[in-house]
Amino acid sequence: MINVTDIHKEYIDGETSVRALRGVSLHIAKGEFLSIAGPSGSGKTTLLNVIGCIDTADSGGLSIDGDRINGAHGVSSRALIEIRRAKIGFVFQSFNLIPVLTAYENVAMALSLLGLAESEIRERTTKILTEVGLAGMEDRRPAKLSGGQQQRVAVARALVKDPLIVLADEPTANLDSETGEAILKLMKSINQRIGTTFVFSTHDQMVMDYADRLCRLHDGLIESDEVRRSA
Amino acid sequence: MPVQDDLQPKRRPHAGPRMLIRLAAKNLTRYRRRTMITASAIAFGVAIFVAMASLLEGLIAEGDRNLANYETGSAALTGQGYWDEREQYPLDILIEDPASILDALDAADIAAAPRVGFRGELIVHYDPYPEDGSAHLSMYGINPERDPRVFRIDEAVTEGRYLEADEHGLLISRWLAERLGAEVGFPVTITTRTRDGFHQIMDLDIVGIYETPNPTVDRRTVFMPLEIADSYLEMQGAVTAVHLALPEAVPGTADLEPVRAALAQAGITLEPAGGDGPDPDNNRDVPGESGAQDHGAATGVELLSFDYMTAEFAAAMELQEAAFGVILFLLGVIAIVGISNTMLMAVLEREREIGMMRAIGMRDGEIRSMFVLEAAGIGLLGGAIGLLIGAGLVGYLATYGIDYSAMLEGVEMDFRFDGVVYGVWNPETMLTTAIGAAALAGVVALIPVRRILKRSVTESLRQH
Amino acid sequence: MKLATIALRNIFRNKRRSLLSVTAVAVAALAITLLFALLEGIREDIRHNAWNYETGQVRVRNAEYDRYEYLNPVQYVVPEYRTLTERLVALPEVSVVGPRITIASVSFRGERQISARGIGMDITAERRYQDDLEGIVVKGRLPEPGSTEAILGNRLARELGVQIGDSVTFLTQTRVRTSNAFTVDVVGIAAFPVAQLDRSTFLLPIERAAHYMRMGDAATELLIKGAGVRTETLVDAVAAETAERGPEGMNVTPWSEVSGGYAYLQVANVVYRIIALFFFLLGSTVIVNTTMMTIHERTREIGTLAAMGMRRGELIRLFFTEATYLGIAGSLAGVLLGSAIALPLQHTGIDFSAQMELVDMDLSTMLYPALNWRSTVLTFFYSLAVAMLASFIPARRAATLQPVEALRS
Repeated sequence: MINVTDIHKEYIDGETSVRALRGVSLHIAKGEFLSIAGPSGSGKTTLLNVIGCIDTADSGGLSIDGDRINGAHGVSSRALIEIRRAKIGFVFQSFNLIPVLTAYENVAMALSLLGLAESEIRERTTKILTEVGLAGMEDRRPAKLSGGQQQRVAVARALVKDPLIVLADEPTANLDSETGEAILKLMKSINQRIGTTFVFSTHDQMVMDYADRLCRLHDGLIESDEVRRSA
Repeated sequence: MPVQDDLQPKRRPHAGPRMLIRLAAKNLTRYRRRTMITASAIAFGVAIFVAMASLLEGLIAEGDRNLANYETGSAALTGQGYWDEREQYPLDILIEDPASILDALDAADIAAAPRVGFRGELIVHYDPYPEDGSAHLSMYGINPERDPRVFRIDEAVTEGRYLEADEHGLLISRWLAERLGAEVGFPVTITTRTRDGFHQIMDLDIVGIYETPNPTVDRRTVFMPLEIADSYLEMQGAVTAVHLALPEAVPGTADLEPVRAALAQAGITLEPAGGDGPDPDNNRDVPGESGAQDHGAATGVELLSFDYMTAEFAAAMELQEAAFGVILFLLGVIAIVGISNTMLMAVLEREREIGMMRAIGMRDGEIRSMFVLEAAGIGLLGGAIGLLIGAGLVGYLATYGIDYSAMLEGVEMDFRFDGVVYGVWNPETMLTTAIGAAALAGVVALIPVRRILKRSVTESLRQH
Repeated sequence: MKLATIALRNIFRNKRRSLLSVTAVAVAALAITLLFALLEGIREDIRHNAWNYETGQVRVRNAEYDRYEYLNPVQYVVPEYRTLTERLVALPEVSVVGPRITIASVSFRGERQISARGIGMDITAERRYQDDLEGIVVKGRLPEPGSTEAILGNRLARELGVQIGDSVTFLTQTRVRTSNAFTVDVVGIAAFPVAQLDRSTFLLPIERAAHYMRMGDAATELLIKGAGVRTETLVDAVAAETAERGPEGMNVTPWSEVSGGYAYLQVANVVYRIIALFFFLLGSTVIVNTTMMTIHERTREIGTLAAMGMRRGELIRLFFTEATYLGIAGSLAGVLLGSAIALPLQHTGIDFSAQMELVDMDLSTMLYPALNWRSTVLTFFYSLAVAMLASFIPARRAATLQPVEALRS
């Protein structure tokens, strides 16, 4: 479903240029629960960003669900925005919820962007909030939620629009191990029940243990790519 | 850890000012676009300020010049209290013996011109004029030989010629001539009153038409030879004023002491000058109104400075200056806010960098200084550019000026410029403005810097 | 989630900063509201003085008089002014007519010559013509119609050194170009609103003025006020009347062409609008400042929204809406407060006599700011427009942030 073909990406950090990806190729099938691991500077966040259409590669190809994203000519950022809007969900390390919106509103926002009817938004939002275990917390603002609860909201926000893929960049890094595990269990269960594809970027061993497939990146290249059964 | 040597006086290592300046300069080049934008805003403000200041100064200078050259001279001697009542052209406050005053001033090499100022009605008749008509005007009997030493009426004659002594001739302005339909050679009749209050008629011929840049003079004044005025008004040698011209670049700045000294030497005593200041309301007592007066009782003579005589004009200019002041203040505030915006962004974006500098041991004061220098640098850059543009503007204004004549046409006020105001070069103002901009910018930068410095180092390092 | 709601909530996020922005705009809007109220008061004042004393709303005068005005051409008159007045008053566009005979004269006090301008008016008709004729009387009373009485401007009286009960003799040129001297009895002292008039004017009954000036049944000019019609309409109506039934050779002039104060107003208007622009820019710079800081502080949030697929235009609109709300609040507050301050001042006025002391302008010494709803509303929109325009630029910056960069911060 997602094909990454020989992606190169270089970016400028201050005065130096960093070659983050030096020819990465990857195929991700629907429903996979994949973890991309590697030390800092290995390029895993960059890879995630490219797949998530937040960033464009310098060269190489990316196709999502058959649509070519990165070709020889690259693609306009406007098109990338549309793809993100409809097809991609993000979960961030620092939750990144909108502080002035309640839990419900944060999740509903993703659907408002798609221009759905109010009734449909309400139905889907309440459903997904229940699924992630936050029934009854809809009217709380992020400031009144614990870290774990906020991340659940983030997961709900990513999932509510039924995305092709959910990308999570170090989702457990700001959570204690118990809460982190709960989140992982949640995402795994959704992956198994609904079949949403999850791709993680992490160097947390626990996350790696939960993954079905583990890609190791080192210095911008894939070092190993093994399928395993999770715990 | 090096051991503190107790025998050495404790000295804290300093970052020298040169290093700070170099740092500041480097940082300015880092954010070239933002620096240029801010500097441009400052330049704009400075240029406008300089141009407007030059115009205002030109306005005042022009007014002063026109007053001095055509109405007052550098200073004047009159009977005591004459100036406050001059609108009534009183012929009972006089200088009875101008000759001795003139001799004293001549001996001291001070240019002096006696004048008799009075009010009269100028009457013209159909043929050769296009219409019968009359106008109440100010009239001056002037000494054609002395007057040009103090005033510039002689240079202003555009048609015909200047007056000659003792002739029945009249100088009228182009403004008047156009409205009367008068030409050189036409006759006029003037009715007025003599010194003793008797009705009097003069018949004169127009010998010349003048045009000065002072509309207040042009619109109301005609000139005739002093002897004629003296004879018809039965002045018996008395004059209403003796105007003086002193060596000065700017009217009103000459020292009046030489005048006092010269007069004192000739035994002429002066009344204390000015009294309580100008009194346009005539609140002070007016001398008795009985007709004939005892000519033997001489009123005292007082010396009027230029500033005293032009107090009303100065007041009107103050109004203008106040208005300009407000606008310029606004410009200044806009500039300040612009700079503070820039410095705010600069400081916010570099918070991590600041944290780092503090972490390696740079002191708060040094960091502050660095940003102040940066801001001052922008201010200086903007000021310099502004000066260049401003100089260009002033150059244009000084050469071509701004023509207000269309606006002034219907205005009834007394104004002293004929419509075109020229800018004045003032390098002092320009330099002060540029330096002021730099200093202001530096000070303004302190506020956002202080905010950041209040935070802890670790918090700053966490940014970005 | 509607952008408007998010924008509104974001404003309350940092109350102090929002308050600062609102205050800055409000102060600017307040100042300008007052300024324009003052200007409106000046405009009204000039109009009032022009209509009542100098030019009327429309003036009828002999064309030749206008042509040679400077020469004091008293020989050019408006003939048979009484019948003309009756005809004009009968017109529906005309409200009142004030005939005038101007006497340019001079008086003598000792060796002093004091210029004065006598205005012969129909005292009875003038009470209807003027907005408030009695109001100018400070001491004594108005002259009786047909009498040899006169009322003097108080500064003129002071210069002449006369009081109520004294007599003054004036010398003038008559219509037939002869000299004539006449004496009036001072029965009143007046305070004209315009200092210039105070210094030089005296009022007397038109019958006597006609006699002194040998005018017969002619007048110098007729001042006309319209019945709530526009000046152009009035001019046309009066001109049509005189063209049709005479007298011939009359000029019908609207006040806007004659009044020097009017020309000054035109200029002042432009200047004040420019000053207003400065003020609003000033107030807006704080909003710009705020918007910039806000965007900076919420960079990560912007990145998140971009990652979620919010379009560039939507991002810009978000911040722009915030700034607009601040602009609305500030402009509204400023305009309302300014109006509140101007309201009582409309009655008490502002005393400018100290400033007018030495300056020679035909403005009254007491100025009454006048609130004009149309101009107040315009000020609100002017202020808001500037605030919105100013905040657009920093708002655009929100959209140029790269999501990757933004998320990293």
